[in-house]
Amino acid sequence: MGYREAKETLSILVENKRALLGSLILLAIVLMALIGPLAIPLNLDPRFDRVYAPPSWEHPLGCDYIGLDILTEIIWGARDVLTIVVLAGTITVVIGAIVGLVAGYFGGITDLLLSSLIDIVLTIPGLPLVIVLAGLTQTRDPLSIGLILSANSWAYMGRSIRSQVLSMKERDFIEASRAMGISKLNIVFRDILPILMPYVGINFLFAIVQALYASVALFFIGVLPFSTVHWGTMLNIAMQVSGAIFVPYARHYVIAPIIFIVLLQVGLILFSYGIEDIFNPRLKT
Amino acid sequence: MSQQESPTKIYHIADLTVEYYMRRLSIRAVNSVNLRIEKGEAFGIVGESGSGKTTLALSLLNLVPKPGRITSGSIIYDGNKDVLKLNGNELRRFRWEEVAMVFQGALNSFNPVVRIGDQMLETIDEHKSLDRQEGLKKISTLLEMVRLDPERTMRSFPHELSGGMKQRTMIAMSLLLDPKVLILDEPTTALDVISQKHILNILADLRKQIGATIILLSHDLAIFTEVVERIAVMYAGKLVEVASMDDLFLRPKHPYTLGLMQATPSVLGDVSKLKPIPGSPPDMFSLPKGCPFNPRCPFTIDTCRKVNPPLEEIPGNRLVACHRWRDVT
Repeated sequence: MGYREAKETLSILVENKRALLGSLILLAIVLMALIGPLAIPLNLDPRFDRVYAPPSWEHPLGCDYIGLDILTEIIWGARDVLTIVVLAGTITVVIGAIVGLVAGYFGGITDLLLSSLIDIVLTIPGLPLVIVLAGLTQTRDPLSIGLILSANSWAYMGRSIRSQVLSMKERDFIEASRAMGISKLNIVFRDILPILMPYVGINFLFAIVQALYASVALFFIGVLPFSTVHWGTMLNIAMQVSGAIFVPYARHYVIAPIIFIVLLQVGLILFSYGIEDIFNPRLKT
Repeated sequence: MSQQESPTKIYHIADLTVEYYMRRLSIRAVNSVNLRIEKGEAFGIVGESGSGKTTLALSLLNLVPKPGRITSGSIIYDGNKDVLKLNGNELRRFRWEEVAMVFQGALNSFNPVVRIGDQMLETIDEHKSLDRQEGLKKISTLLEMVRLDPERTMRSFPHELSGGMKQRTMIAMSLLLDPKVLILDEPTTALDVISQKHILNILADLRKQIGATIILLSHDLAIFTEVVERIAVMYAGKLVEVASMDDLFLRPKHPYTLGLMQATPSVLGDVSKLKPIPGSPPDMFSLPKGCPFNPRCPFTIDTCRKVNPPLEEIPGNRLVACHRWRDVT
């Protein structure tokens, strides 16, 4: 079954041009993050002879304020960036989906408690909360950063999943499952969740997009301890440490991480156009 | 049919009332129904839309949906089990292991994004009745029994099956756990006549092979003739007549049943001789005083407008709820 499904998914992706482009961009960035660091060593020794060297064959993206190769930094940074955002996206979606499904299906007092919790969390403004948490913890660990980034976003997810479940649970086939003596947990996770998968999938991608914005922002404003190669750190240094933003011949140092951040966003958003198709059983045989 | 308690009753429904609560009003979808269903018989319940058939059937599984509530009565299953008093876990096991139901609109009873085979396995897993291999074998056997290609059907998503195929799959699914009672709610609605005939043949076969009690609900009298032995007629939430198939068809004793007979077209009959029942189905919010059928009944006398007739036993082992059953011919 696994091989068949994978092949089907692939052919669906090829059909949808936008999703295909998106998945190619994502694939390229992921490969870069996985293989790049193995191929290119990161040398952090300053090389003052080539500070802000413009792009060339040797340094395709030029050099930074202490003469390090920018492309190498981007490649090493990709691993950190991806780990953090995928963790954050996963945590957001898993917690949000579980809370939403349980609140929506079980109803009653469970729903009341979970909905109230969601409402309370939603009243706290997102980015400030994240900044405060990051500033307090001063963590370097990707998992902790992922948790901080989803501190508030799971609640949006939970609320929208809950409302989807409310409309779903009155459907005939859920009624039928009840008549078959299927337990509540199995109805929720084996009957309702599969139907909401396209929704969950798209929200997963958007949660990643949000986490990317937020994590870059955290490094950019410098509330998290520097991890030398995160794209956000590069921006932070360019803006605030080295002053590259004010130096006309150093523009490439500012633009490089921005381009990769935008590229990753575009990849994610284009890929999200294919999610609906991937989960639509009518396109499968 | 004897009125005494006897161990052969699979269902003993006493004084069952189910009400749906609306904002201010409530509707009695099932109104003090008393009914005994014998073990192994094929029992039919006929009634027009809104007469309470489905609600009655759902109560047999204690599955009345909100805002409905069973407000009084008892449903004793197999002589000792009160369906309305089962707790969560007992109820889950009771459903589908003892009593299975093929829903009205079985076409919508499948999860659109899960393959048929997986949906059937889910039910087996849940009840832990068989391991996976045995489960798959059982599913194949049942799908063959309803004349479907097991391999193909199990791999299909619901939208890949036709209406008739879905209906048959649903029947196969209902038999997964060898239930003692099979409830079929309008199993042939929305199907073309060929598929209808097909389903009815399958039901007749199944009865011979499995020997389960079958409870068939429909508004279409014609489909009962193929399978049913005894039949109850429902009107406005009440049983108005219970009799054997032959008695009901040849000698109806309730004016409503008589009306149904005269309004049912036959293949060879003259359509212009059909006599519709005058008036329209009752407004459940404001039922007429007395017998609920009195405004449409040609036999109405004064008593009918004042006293709601109880379901009483009359000669010939049958029950009828009419003041004037002696005059109905």
